[in-house]
Amino acid sequence: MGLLTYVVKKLLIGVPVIFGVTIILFYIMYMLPGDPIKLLLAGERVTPAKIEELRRAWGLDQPVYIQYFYWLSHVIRGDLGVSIVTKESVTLLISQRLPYTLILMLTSTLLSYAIGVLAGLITALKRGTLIDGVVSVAGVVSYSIPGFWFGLMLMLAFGYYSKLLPISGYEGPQSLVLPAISLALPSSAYVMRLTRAEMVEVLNEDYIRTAWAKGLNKKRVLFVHALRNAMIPVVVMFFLDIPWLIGGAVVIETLFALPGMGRLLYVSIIRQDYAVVQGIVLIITVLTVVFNTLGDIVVAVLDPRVRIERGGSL
Amino acid sequence: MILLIKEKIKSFSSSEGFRLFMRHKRGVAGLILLSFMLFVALTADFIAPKRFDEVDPSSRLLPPSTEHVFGTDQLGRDIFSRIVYGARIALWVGLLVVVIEAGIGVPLGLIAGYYGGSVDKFISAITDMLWAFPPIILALAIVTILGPGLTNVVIAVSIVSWAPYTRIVRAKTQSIMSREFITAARAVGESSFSTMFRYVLPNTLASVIVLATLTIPSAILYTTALSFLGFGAQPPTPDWGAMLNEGKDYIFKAPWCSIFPGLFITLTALSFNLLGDALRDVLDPKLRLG
Repeated sequence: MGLLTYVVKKLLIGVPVIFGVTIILFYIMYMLPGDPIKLLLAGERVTPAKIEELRRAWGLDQPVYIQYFYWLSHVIRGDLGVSIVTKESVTLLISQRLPYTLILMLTSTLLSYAIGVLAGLITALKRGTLIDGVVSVAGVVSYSIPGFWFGLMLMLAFGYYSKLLPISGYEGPQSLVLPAISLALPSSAYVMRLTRAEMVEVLNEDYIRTAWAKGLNKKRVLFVHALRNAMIPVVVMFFLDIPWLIGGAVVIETLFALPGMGRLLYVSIIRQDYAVVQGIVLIITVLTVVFNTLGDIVVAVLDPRVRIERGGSL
Repeated sequence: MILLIKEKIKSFSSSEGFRLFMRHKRGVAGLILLSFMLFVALTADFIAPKRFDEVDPSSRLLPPSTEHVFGTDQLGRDIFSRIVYGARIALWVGLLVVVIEAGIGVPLGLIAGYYGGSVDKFISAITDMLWAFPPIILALAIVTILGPGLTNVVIAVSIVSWAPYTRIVRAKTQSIMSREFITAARAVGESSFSTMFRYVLPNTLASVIVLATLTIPSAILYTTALSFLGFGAQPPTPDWGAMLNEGKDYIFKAPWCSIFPGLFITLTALSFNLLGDALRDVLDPKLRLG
């Protein structure tokens, strides 16, 4: 199968997944306890006729599938509804918060891949030595630590005892340092583990033995021949990691009181501001599907064998 | 009877797998750590000097001392006692989540792998769809519907994370289906149901056990994270995540309220991770997760 066909096929698979997700999400919100009109009025005293009028105005007197299409037609146009609490547009609310979350994710991802790939390489090349043992154990410990607790400990050490970094709210880029580290720790351990496993496997391959036998120098064998192939699954993981990172961001942003999308989600759940919750979950899910599809495409570009192997089973 | 058990233990301890495991230093360390946690959880009533909800207004936020080894919290409760009782919750929650996940995921994987075709396509589509949701986010959405509480968090976390079981069991089933003993079982007239559960399932168990051991720590981390956000266990439950939620307000004034619960979450997750890695190396070295 050609690359282009593969990419198109992957993109076409992403579309029904997103539709399925919107249906599930709409249904979850539909099943929520509480009458949205009453929530909207927030205790205001109005006549039953007025309630009926509002119900009709919001389309809530229609059957659920009509409501779904009504909602979907707005979503497609970029209208995610109105916050019941602040009466602001959900799209606006999210677009104000999204940059913080994206920057946080980007920095923590860069950090975790820098540390993870380096540690993975060292442990793979020094396999069976003391360094390998120590770093590998440190890795297992790192992903056993709850990120939010690690964040609290960082706050204590760097924000309180040494007063080096801000611990709460957003006062500029320095406010992202501790949250990014808390978010990066567990994922760097996974990256390390994968890099090590892949590198060890690749180093045992025939073509690496051939490269050694040809008398190529060490650097060339390790970095050009081995690393390039070992990195393919690591690159894929980069894309598949995104949903996990967003999940972590909700907890970490809440802990550090960062004005990002994760904290907005937390606050909206507490306030029962369902329109905002629905909007954020939708954005996150679409981002996830997009990144998963990108991951599939990138791996197909890097490793042509995948196109053939996976092409058949679709 | 006793002789039979003795014989069993003897044959187990001399088996290849057992010897391989005992040589796995990290695995043994994990087993020891886990046994310690289990011991603490089982004997909580004897170890804990106080009840987990025993309030003492005269000794609020006291630092660790000989009387209160881990200090006291904002209500004067003994943190050591709360941690000891919390071990029960953490282990119970981890186990429960994994049992529910396997209960959903394993049969679906068996059915998908056994029947193939459109059944397989349908089940795989659901699995893929679930995979597209970030787990914590979906769990949060479900908790929003069900309302806060430890039981609801357990349900939410289980619903969002059974997909790996389906994927692994499906793949294993597919590879087993072409084996001769399956053909033989079907040839002598075994029903599909009986073939699936008596012949295929036992052959997937090693992978399921490894996966279960390795998903317990993430179950514990997810549920404590949700409790930390205030959606899980409610006070005065001595859930470690809920303790952190209460303790974070006193992080600078009384850091011990936060340090110890987190430390025990880490140790518990670590014990399962170490054990799980060792079990994988011994039982199913080629198993790929995620």
